[in-house]
Amino acid sequence: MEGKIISTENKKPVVALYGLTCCAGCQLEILDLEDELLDILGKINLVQFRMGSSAKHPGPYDICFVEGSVTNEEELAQLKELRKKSKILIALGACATTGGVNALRNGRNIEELKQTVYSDASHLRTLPEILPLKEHVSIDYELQGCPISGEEFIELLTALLTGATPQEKNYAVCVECRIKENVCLMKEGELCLGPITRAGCGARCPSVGFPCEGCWGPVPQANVTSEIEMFSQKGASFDTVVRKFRMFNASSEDFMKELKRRLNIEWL
Amino acid sequence: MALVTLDIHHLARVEGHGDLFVEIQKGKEPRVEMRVTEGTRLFEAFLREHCYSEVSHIMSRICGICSHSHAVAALRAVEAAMQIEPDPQTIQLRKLMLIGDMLESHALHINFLALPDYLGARNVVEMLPQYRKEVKRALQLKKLGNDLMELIGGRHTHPLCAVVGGFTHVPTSAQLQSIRKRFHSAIPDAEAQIELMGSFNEPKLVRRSQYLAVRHPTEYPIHDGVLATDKGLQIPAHEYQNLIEERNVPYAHAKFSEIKGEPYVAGSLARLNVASNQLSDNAKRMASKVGLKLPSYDIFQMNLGQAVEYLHYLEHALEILDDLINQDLEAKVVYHKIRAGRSAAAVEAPRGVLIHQYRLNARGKVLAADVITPTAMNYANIEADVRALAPELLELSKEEAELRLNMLIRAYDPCISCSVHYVQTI
Ligand code: SF4
Ligand code: SF4
Ligand code: SF4
Repeated sequence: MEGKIISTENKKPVVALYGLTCCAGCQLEILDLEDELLDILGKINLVQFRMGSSAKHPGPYDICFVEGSVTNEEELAQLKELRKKSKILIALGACATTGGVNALRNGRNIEELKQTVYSDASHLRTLPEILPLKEHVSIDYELQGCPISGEEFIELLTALLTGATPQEKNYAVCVECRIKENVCLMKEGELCLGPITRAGCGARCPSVGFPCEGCWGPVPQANVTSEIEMFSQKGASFDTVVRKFRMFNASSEDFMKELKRRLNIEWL
Repeated sequence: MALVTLDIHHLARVEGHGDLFVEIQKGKEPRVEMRVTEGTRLFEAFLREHCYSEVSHIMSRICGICSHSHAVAALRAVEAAMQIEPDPQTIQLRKLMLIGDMLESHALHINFLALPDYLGARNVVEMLPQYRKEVKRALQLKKLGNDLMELIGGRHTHPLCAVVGGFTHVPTSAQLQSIRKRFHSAIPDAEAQIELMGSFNEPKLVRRSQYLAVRHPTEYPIHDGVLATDKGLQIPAHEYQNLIEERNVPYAHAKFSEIKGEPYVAGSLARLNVASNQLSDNAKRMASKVGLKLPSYDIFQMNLGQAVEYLHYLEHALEILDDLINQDLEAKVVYHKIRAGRSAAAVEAPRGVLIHQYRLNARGKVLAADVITPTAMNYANIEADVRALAPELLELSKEEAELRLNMLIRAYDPCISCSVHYVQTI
């Protein structure tokens, strides 16, 4: 990665925010930082933010955030262009880091999917497989989650603006869940992906009684084998295991490779 | 200008990706194409491998801005298909989720997406030097909606604890008390927002269309009711396909929709035209104070209409909170049997009527799904409005014409990521 981006009074970094195909929830998460937003806007020169501004800026950018997935050739070209123009390129959210729910099309017959929603699908050009952005271009940082966490966004931006090294969370959601002293849902018989999912959300779902669905993506060195084992012990069918693992991670190699091997499923 | 050809690429300050193509020439029928370019997402298709209990979590990802509306519509449609009756507590909490979406989305749209045009700015940052107070107020009004959703749904975007048959988590009485206090003290700010939006008289575009909303016998449109138009058409929500006709257009990744062969409007103005008598007294008072006469056929009053609705929904939330504070809420999910079925539900999302329909098999797997979003409902009407605006555009400079068209489209508060669904008939 190139040199650090430091914000000073007279030289604010040029920042852009782009969206590919997605629900825009990650951009919204930034707008939702109501208490901090004006402060953040004072430290950067936000030149491109189509959802919030009609101003346009051709680049180059010091920092460029991209949310969403590449679903067609135009978006791929746009992403490559953004890579060229940006010193630091950051993938924002599950759509960009794991493919998110967009990747649920992976492994299925794309022509059939298209027919389902169009009477005439011939003019529709869409890629059969959704990949994390880092499979298309090199990415400097990733913020996981569906949606991202506003706090993690501020943490990363602050680190970049002050020249500090951003901290990665290399532990599982379970760690955050235990700190919160939640009742473990897995012990109550539910199927929770917390043990193999990267922390960062503060164990959001288990804290409100809902098992983790894995939206932060795989934790490094995830013990996928033992997770599959635990799900099976609770009586989950193959079909259920596959569905749970795929929800936000249908294009996460870490999860899919092991599923394929263990359950002998070719199409994943 | 004798000829207007405008191709506005990537409409800014709308949610999602769309272009507008317009060609207007004296004496010729104008060509208007609302080109929806957002990539396809195939939600209704890939949903088919999924289980009834996962539907709302997947479908909320259609749109970040109205995720709670999609979630509630999905939950209600799935429950209707499986003949599950949610209890009154669940319904009250879901109404708060929908209201949270309204408050957050309306405050965002009014102040950050629509207002800059009225003040000659390109974005909220440019408004700051002169309008810092208004921007701060707007942020707080937006935050109220978010905080309500966070409290009830477990997260302000993509709710977590609202499930088929109930909630896995509910707020404590103390939490409800504290948000109630904040809602109550926000009333003056909500009124000031109406006064601000009521101070703009231009531009105008008066054209009588049809207006569609979810009408309920006793409350202003929000959670359930029949589909009703201002012209007196009425149909139960699950029979929507007998009222709403959809067609493909070659230039857009979204379906266009009509009623009786004519375009129609969904959104604040539609709700107001169908149900203004059900507004809170205070909202009625403020509407007449700023001179909003209802019914209104001026599409630019969508913006002012949202401001009036903000106050109404704030007060509706207060009523519900008062009711819930006196109960001991408990996290509960009604016992339900998984069974085959098909049904639909309609709710009011910030941008208007939102319909979800599902067909499930006996194991609770989704066989087919259909979603009609308010933005898709409005496309045909946007095109009709641009045609009506055509003579006026010929009198304007290119920049002015472009701004006017952008303002027109933004008045609809379109959410293009929402509308990109090629929907299957089930
Ligand atoms: S990651 Fe989730 S919240 Fe973010 S844009 Fe994608 S679908 Fe929306
Ligand atoms: S509930 Fe889930 S995240 Fe929490 S400790 Fe148990 S397995 Fe881990
Ligand atoms: S608990 Fe799991 S699914 Fe829930 S937000 Fe965290 S990572 Fe995502």
